Amino acid sequence: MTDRLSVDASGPISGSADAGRSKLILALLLACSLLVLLVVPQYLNSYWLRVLTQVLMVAVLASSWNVIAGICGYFSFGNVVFFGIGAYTTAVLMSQFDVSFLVTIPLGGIVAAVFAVLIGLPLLRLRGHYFAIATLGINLGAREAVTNLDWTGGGKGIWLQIPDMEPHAFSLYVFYMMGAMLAVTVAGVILLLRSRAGYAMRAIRGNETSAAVLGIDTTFYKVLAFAISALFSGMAGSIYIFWMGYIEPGQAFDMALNIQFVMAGLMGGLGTVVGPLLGAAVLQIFSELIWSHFLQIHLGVLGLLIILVVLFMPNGLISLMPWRRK
Amino acid sequence: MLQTLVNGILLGGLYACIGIAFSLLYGVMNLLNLAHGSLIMIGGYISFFCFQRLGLDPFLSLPVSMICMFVIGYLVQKIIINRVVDANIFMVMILTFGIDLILVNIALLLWSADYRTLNAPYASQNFQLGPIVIPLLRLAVFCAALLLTAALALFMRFTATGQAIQATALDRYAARLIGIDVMQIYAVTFGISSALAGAAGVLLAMVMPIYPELGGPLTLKAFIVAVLGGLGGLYGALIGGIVLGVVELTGAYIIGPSYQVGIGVAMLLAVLIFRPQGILGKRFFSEVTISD
Repeated sequence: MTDRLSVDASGPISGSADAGRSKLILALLLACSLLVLLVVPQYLNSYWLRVLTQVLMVAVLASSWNVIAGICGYFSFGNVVFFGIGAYTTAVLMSQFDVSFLVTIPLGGIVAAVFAVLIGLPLLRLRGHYFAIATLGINLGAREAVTNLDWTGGGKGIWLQIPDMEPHAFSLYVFYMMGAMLAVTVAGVILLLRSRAGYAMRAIRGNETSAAVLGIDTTFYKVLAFAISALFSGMAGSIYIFWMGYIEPGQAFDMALNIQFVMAGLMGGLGTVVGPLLGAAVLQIFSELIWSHFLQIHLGVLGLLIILVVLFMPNGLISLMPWRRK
Repeated sequence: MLQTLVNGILLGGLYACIGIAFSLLYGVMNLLNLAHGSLIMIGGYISFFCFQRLGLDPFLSLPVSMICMFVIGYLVQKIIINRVVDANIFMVMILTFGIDLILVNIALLLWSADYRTLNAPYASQNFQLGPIVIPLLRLAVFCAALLLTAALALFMRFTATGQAIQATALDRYAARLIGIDVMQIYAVTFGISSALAGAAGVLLAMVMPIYPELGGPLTLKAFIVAVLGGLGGLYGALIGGIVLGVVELTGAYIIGPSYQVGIGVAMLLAVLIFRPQGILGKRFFSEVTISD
């Protein structure tokens, strides 16, 4: 298969036939990785299972961030707020109302999406840096609010009951939940890109004023993109809290996590389906290696990596892939 | 209450100094420097080092820190950021975040994660003015911050370099046409901004403890101050700093200290939504446009 890829890349580009073939290759690649993800985990120890679950989670978050930042062009810098809201929704429902975990996942997403609509209506009128920093502020504000409220456990956080499962089975269960979540997210993004709404969002990214002139209801589609982004992030947050069994404000509204998925998106290539997934896998595995080998300087190495990506690969890893080369 | 107001104004002078340097960068090259807080932090550590190892009075280490930070800032812009001035603004923003991570890591390696304080011998002297107690050190810090701001204003107005910076801010291409080396001006501007950040760090270290992760919250404060005053403008940031200092402390006094950060954020969002051009009003080179 790798042979065919390289032949394709060096051959002349022949319009739609070639595009069709590269789509086929892409689909095959995805199917293979899906198969690997389904079979291999059974044989992994819990350490690598944890790392892979983390990769999947960052991939979900990067893909959903991609909806607002990559497809719609609004660089939200505090998207982790939706993750935190989803996590807290699940935590509160499970610990105080005994709602079952599976029911809380969509609820976590919906609460986050409603929140996105509420803050999106005023904030999405801001452009550029102003929107980025306003969302950063929203995240800090949400963190402060949760720390000061009583029913969210304040700064102490919330503990969940330990699920009645054997540890390795539990790790596997969470892994597959997160994997299913990623599949849902990617399917959502693909459907969105092919829909009318996806075209509208890309038109807004291209030039918002022109899009409005063409009759696109820009406010509606911007808020929609924000809400979709929040929906998936919130659901990932729900699964995360179930996985950890414990949540506190600093961990739910964690800027470091926000940076991770933003970096994953940028490294992979924004606005594409595969880019954020690729970026998440490369970045997470890379930083896991740095963590375990160079604990003292891992921040600096990550910083250096960011600088190198921005300087030398501004369009992301996806631009290096053979089927993208022109 | 009056005491809180005075404390707020004194703290505000320091905030203004933090915000002006940040706003300068945005005004000249449309750059939101996420490493700003960490530059301040490094400045604070330089003065800490001078005080502990060389016994240098904190106010005397001010120029040392400023010179060091000017050189660091100049080189960062010259070597790294100048390469991407035409890239997407968010890529540049992420780039400064990468620089921020490296600065934090350097501080962690050199000075460890401990909280450090500069205890100048005169740190606890006060004087009484009617019913109000004024801490001498805070007053001195306030005055130093105001002097630095004034110095920057004079520099921008009366020196050739300052005028070249203003010309570049107005129109980069036109500036190049009249013979200004834009890349050089960018590097000098980043250097000046870093020097001010370094000075702010020295002043900050005198009134509160410093630690390597101090940068993030400070960057947010710098942004709030700059937005309050009108992003990109210099003199608005002075007002913005004092407003933030007063509102933070009086708010904390009325509602409770755990809401101090929340109050700042709430104010930021309110200004962004209702008055994006800043309290003072004039729209500078900002890109805020209200759609629909």
